[in-house]
Amino acid sequence: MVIRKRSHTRLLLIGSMLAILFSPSDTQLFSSPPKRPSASSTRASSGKSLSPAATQARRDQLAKIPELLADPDPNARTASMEAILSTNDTTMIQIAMRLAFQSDDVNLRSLAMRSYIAGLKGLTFDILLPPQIQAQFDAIQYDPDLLADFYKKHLYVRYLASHSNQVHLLFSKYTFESDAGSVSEVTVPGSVRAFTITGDRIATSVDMFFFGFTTSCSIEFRPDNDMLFAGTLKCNDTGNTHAIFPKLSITSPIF
Amino acid sequence: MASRHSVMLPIAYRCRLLLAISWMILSPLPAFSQHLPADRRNARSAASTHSAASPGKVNSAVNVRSDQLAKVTELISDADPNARLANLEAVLDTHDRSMIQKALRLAFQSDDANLRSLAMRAYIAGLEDLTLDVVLPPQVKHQYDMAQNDPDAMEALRRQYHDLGQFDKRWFKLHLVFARHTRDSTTGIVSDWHKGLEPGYFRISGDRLTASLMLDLSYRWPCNLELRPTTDLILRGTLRCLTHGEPTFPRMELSAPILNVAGAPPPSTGRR
Repeated sequence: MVIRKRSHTRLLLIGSMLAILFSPSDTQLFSSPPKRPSASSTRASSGKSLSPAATQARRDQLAKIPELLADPDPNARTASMEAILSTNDTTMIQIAMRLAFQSDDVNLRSLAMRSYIAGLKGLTFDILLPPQIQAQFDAIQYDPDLLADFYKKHLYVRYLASHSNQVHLLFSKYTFESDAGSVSEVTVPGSVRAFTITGDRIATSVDMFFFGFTTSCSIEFRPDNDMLFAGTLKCNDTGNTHAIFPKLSITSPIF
Repeated sequence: MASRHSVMLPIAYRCRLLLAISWMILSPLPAFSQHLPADRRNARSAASTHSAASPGKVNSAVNVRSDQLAKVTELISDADPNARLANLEAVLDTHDRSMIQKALRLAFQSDDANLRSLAMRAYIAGLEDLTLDVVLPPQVKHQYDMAQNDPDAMEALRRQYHDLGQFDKRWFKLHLVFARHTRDSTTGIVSDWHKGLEPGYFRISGDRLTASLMLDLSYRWPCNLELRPTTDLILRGTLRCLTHGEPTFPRMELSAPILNVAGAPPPSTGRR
């Protein structure tokens, strides 16, 4: 009887061990009990593993996003987008933003734009020279003498080159719920202007410092369907330097 | 027969118990080791390969682990993009370094934008610092290489591109230090490794990291950099700086291997 009892005890012990050891690798990866697929529960960051059921629940949660944002009722789409943006779930929010920026629903695009800008401290745009000017610059950019002559003819190109052909905006005092905030350009950070998001478009002005002078520049941009912010930059002409800035295209990848 | 069985069974189970306990001790599986500090887990894992266990037992443990790692490929290559994302999150939550590195490599090699985005956030969150190669524009690099043994030519080149000397002093390296960033956040703090400079900030949007920070150069304003992971496991991007004087390089290329496995392009200069 004693031997039999000990054998049963060991049987149970070994059975438990072997069950752990020989369980499928899925259960080793995901050993926690299934969790409800809420944003907080499924974004486990405490180091605990997820169970297959919880992973499946998370999968279903992510799969639901396109469905919610394609609802035939535009108000339901807006409400769903608001709900997703309020979760602080980065993965869900980025999926929703991609879908919103690719949609033609103005309300979804506006929500996505506001959320994107609210998450920014700064945004850097490439300034595109007119194609013909760019081609001329490319041809002579490594020849100091030709480059000096080129800069004399097209003074604004020299000034933009000192900015590496970029404009860097700094955003502040803006939250997702608001329409307006503050913006400045990195070379004149103290000159803060207001900006407003109208639909999915931002139009504002900033001061930019170039070598020896400061000038005011109007800037506007919106997301296009290729996941780019695209817009224009037009700086005031400066009489004392004879630098005439044409209206230039600007662009920045959204993702 | 009954009494024979009652004697034989405990012996058989004793052997299996020993086998099971050996495997438990040897096994590096997260189910057993996830509550241990990372260094202790690694030590245990390393010790397991040198234990006195028989080769057969070790091979069994290796097989189990091999199957587990093979499962990562299956999970990250799931046909369902939402399952891939959920699976990558789950793998990241295991804190199992080998599984995570394998999963990140697979994610960076994929063209799934959301998977790459999550992988980039997780990768940067796991870094304390990052050293990038600064690559000159091809024409300037050629001139620089030609001037290596010609002091006059080098001096003329440095007058033409006054940043050149600054990057030369840095061995054409950019050493960034990251802070205040987790896998679930899209922003953080970044600074040049050189002390005393005001830190800048970075943002990860999709799989693209953009940063604005002061560098230990002659610039008055921050430099902007952007980086993306390529499918051949290299972080590639550009560095552009604003000058308050003459224009200099329009942009410089940046690169660094991801997970220290990719073959980064050779350094742009002969000086290391």
